[in-house]
Amino acid sequence: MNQSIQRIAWRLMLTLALVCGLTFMAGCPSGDCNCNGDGGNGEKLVDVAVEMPTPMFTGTPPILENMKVRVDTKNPETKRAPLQAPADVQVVSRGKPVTSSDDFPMIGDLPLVTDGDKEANEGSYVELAPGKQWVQIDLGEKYEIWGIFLWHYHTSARVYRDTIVQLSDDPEFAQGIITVFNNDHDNSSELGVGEDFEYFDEHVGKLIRVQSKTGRYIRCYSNGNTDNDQNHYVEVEVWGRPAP
Amino acid sequence: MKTHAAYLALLLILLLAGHLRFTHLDSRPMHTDESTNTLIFRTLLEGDGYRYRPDDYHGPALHYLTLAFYKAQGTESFIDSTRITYRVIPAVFGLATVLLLVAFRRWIGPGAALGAALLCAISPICLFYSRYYIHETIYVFTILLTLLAGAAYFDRPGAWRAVALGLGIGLMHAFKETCIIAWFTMAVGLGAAWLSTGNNQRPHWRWAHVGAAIVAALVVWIAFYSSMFTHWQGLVDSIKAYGMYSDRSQNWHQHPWWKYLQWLFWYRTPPLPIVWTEALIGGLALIGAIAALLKKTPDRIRVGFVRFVAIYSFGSLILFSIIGYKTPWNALPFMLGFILLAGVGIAVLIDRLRRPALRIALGLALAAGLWHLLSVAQYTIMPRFEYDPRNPYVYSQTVKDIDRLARRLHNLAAVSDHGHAMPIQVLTDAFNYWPLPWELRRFERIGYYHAQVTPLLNLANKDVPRPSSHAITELKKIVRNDAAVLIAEPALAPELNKLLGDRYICETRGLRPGVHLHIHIRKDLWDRYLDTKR
Repeated sequence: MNQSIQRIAWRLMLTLALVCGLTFMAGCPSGDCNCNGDGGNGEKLVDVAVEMPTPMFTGTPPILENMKVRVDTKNPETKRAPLQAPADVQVVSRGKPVTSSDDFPMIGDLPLVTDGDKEANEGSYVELAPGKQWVQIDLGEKYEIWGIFLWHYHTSARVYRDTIVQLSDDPEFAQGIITVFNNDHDNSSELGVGEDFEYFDEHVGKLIRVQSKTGRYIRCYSNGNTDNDQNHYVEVEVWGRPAP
Repeated sequence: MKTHAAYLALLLILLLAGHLRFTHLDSRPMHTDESTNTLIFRTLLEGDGYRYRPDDYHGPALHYLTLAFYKAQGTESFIDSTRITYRVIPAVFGLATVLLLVAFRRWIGPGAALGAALLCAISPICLFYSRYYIHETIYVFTILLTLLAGAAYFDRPGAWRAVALGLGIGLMHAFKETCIIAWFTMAVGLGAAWLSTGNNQRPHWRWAHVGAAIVAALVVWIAFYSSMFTHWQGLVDSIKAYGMYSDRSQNWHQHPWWKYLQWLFWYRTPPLPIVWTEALIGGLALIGAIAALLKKTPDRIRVGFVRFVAIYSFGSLILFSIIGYKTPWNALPFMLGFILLAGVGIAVLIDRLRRPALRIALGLALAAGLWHLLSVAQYTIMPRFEYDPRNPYVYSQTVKDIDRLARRLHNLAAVSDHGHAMPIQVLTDAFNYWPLPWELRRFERIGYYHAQVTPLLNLANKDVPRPSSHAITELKKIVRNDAAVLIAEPALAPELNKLLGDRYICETRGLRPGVHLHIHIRKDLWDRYLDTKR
């Protein structure tokens, strides 16, 4: 009797190990792990080296753990794992045209969003009108996207509301929309309830791991922040390679 | 014809001033001081009785005045009152101040008086604080009343004019105890103006008039500070208050001596392409003051009065600049003087520049300056900037996120079995919960625990391992098991996280720029709320 229980236990453990191994081989479904794997087709992934701007404030307001709707402390942006992507992935957004729901920003111009300047100095960011607004980058052609870095404003600690990032081949974003990030936890922007965490904007920006999704247009929504209703963008940097 | 044109101009100025003062009065979140005033008023309204407190809440007259406006508006209860219920009071007095400036035409001439009214109507600082439920705008109105009554008395002394002067002085004190600075500069201005005009004749005042003025001022003081003859300790406290204000002047809100000049005349926060400046008023005021000093004013303008206003205004600016304690609204009393002087400055320029080409150039320059001033005024109150710290008159202002916080709690109450009686606990220190008592006034079971929480926050600042077991023990004594929402200082996060576990979800909300609150919402309530959003 005891032997049969042992046999069953061994089989269960082996099955569990097999499942874990397969999961690891397939890559992390959350996209947040720090595993050295491949792109799912045997292609070797490497750490992407991203140039970071100067920190403008020290310390982040204390944050919470074990909560669904919260600032993510388990994986703070300052201690996150590097973006992993195939070796030929590069910045594909630099200098690309930007449009917005606010055609006449109060501060700055829309090209600042893709000019490569990530500093929080004056003249480095664009300030859009209050409420729900978006910026949209036209990559010019379809790209296989692996990561998007987002800097709203990092001069002081702020949480930007309803940060939503979508890809599409349709410039109107009427069809074929892929949502790669959404922390609108109460659906106040009415684009669906988001499951991602809120975060304090810091100099390291927000990394959105996209893991090989294709699209020509990137649209980033926001809906004010904890300090005011305005929407700011220092830089949006898209890492990818031409779609096959 | 000229009179008709002047009346028409006045009507247009009043329409403009009214439009700027009364539009979207409710859009800016309540400042801490505004919400404190509403809560003090509540004690007067709901039968607890108003009691003057000498610790930084200023004079009682605002609350009695509020009672009159409140009744006149037919508001049913404090809970039903809105931001407009209160902000309409400074708006009315801001408009009345514009009108009252015209009454100075006898001393500065009708052109200068109209010019001053126009400048006051569009002065960004006058406009901004005419939409702000604190004492200053109404206090400034009482200063103007005092100046007018004083000018009228010294023009033609009489018992009633003396009484009016006494009432003005009493009302100044009933709104702000710090009026002694204005009294001092007024007294210096009066003496200096009298001596400088070379008038060796003693003014035709009588001791009986002085007595009447003192009695009138005392009656106002006693009535308001004794809570309408019910709380005599208030009179003693109104004297004691100066000790407290003396301490505050050296410790609180400390700024460099030039801060008022920066706020008023050159405030720029790059890369925002807006320069907040009232340099037009400052420049014209200098012209008016210098012309009065050199006796180069038009005949209709009384040099002695203008010199008095100049000494009062510049003297107040100097005194307020010397005092370390500075807030932008404290600039209003001397800005009002600058506006009167600027009206004189306009009249002087028109008088001195007689060639048609120069007058055309002056007209164009003034039009451009006024247009710029109006633009700045509009920026000052537009919803985008009226709570934005890049606006010089926004000072320690609550951010817009507080509206979303209040809306969130009302939405949660809508799905809670207890409605607005759901238990809410506020775990912050004494400074970081205002204006919640105003914004959350509809909630029936809301507790503020700053007395218990402040020692824990001090603990959090020390180098102790977090989460601190002591803080958790103390929090356990405070936090209710059935609390629907906890509003807490982020510094308590490690302990609250441990204590609440996954029974609550949490949002971050802004209170003031750089100051955040954590809103812990009971999970079952959150899920119920979320179901309504899907």
